Amino acid sequence: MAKRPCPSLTSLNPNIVMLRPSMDDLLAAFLDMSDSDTDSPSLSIDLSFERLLESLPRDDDQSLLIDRALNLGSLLLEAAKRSARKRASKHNSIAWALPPDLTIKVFSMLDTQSLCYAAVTCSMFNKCAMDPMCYANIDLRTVVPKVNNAVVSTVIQRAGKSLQSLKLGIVPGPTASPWSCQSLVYTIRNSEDVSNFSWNDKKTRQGKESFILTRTCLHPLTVESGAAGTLLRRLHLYNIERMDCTSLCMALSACPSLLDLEIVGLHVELRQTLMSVSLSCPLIERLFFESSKTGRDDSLKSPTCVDLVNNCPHLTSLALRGFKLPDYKIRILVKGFLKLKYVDFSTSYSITGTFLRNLGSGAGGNLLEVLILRDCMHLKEVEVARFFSALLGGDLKFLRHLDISNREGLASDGDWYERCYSSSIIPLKQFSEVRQDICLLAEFPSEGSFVDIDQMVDSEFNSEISLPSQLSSHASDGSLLMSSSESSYNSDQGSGNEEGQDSGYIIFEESSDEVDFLAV
Amino acid sequence: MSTPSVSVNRVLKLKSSDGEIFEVKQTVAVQSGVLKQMMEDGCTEGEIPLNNVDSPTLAKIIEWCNKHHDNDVEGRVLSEEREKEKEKEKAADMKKWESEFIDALNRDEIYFLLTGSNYMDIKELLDCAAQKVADMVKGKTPEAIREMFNIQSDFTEEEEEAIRKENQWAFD
Repeated sequence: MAKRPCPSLTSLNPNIVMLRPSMDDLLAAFLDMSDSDTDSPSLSIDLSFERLLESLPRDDDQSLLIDRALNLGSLLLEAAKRSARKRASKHNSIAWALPPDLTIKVFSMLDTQSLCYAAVTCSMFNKCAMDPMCYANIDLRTVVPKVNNAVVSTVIQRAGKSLQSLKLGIVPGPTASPWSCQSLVYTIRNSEDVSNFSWNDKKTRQGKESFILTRTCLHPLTVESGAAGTLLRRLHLYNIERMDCTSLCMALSACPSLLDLEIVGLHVELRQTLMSVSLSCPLIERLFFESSKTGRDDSLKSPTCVDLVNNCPHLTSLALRGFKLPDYKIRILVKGFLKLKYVDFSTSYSITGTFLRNLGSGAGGNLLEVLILRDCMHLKEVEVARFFSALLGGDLKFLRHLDISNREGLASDGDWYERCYSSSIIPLKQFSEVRQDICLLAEFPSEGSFVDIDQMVDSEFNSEISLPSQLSSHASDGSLLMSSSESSYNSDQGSGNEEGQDSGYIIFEESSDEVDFLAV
Repeated sequence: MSTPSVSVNRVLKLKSSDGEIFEVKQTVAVQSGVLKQMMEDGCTEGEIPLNNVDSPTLAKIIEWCNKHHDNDVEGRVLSEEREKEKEKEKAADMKKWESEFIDALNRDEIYFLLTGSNYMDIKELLDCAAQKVADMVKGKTPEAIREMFNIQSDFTEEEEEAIRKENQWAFD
């Protein structure tokens, strides 16, 4: 206390010390004025300043005085603002008692939009909200389009190597109960929310202001030799109209750690996407793929199924919804993934249910806990009945959830035009007594409509029928999975015969010919 | 409990920042990473000072740990099926208890709980409390966040504009 902090300074430059108290007094007196006067302070300053100006005879001096006043005024303003900010910062650090590391922990639990709001609140929050940890789980799903490539790029950069999960695209609304069968495919043109919105808006091609995700929106995952993608575990993409196969596959190739891939309503081909998954994502555990064009994508080939099964042995959850999937391809998948617990082929075409035969025997499929075959147009009553008998016999002892509901009813054995809405051969009552461990959903409306069945018929005939001679000529080339008796699984390999068929070929009964394929 | 120094009957004496002593079973205390480490190192004799945790917070933390204490001595005879079922029920009950526990606290108490559980390294409690704060922030505009947490803007006008621009998409 006795020592002066810096005596040398005083002796060197006495002006500094002398200046300070007088400056403080001056400023204090000046500021005091603003509320000491009973009159309006602005008026008194006005009058006083006028008088001062008039006392100066020279025009130059008057100008100088005005300049000085302006300068001093703005200096004072800046000083006051700066102090206010400082005080606000200090106030915030007391009001918000959490240290930065815990603030970051809290922020890392926010959705990305809330995080952006927090970032704008104050400088402390802004600093914390820029931490890579906050962007480990990026969720840029929106109900209306408002995210563009630049936004994606920004948040991926903020995340850096912390990126673990990325959800992107347009979703119908807040939904998603785990076993929800509601389609997530979203046709933006029909939405009222975006009635003013046009995909061909000129802005989208020119300005940066557009809200369109283009096919390069996942590019930030792959730049810098894929740094951001390397640790990504979850990738969910919804209804990104402009995404194409090549871009998606490129993104996947930068994500070797991917565990969970969900693709809904993208215009990408099933086969290429699954090929890319089997090449790039060996650790994948969950695959959810919903087609943008119900039942028309029949691109999946058996060799792709086999590759996928062999390259991605950790898969526990598989959903392929709205594709055209013949039973034998499904069988390769369901029997091939030995850890499979969750399966959903809802709204997929061609599935008759023969893949369900002997599902519980042997490896693969026997661990199933959830099986959803909702609104599968070609699912046959007789196959379902057969499956139920197997379940009654104790098959699939881990099964907890089974959904065979169908808004069109189930298909009759011979002719799938004939629909059955209340089955006499499926032992529903007995089932609910014996297998109380299973939550069964089997809802069939009393009346069905056949609105879109007619439209499908032509394509059905073209692709479903194969000649026996062709079946046997395309033998499998060394897939690990298949025994010799199953080689005919690969009927669609090679020559592209599915599309080339004339509808005039002989029709033989599906059930009888597939028995040969599937008897194990 | 694999560590020999941890036994069911032994208790630890925890001393809060304001000098209050709390007795906690060792089997309960292992939920704290810090205390677990101390037990493994064999330095839990006498009072253990917890200088960053006051007594109301420590009481809350111990209440949490007692509730989450894994006392599954019974139930081993149950079949695998029944056990799974019971586990599920237990988990649901616990979730309910946790949310009631955390909802009963005011904001300052939650802050203290957060710093306390962080200090004592109790991950589940830390997550639960952090989630509660995150839920308070979630879905609010910057103005609403400021009001909720008594926060003032300390940006310059230029800064605020630049930051808003950076996060523009969220505001459209």
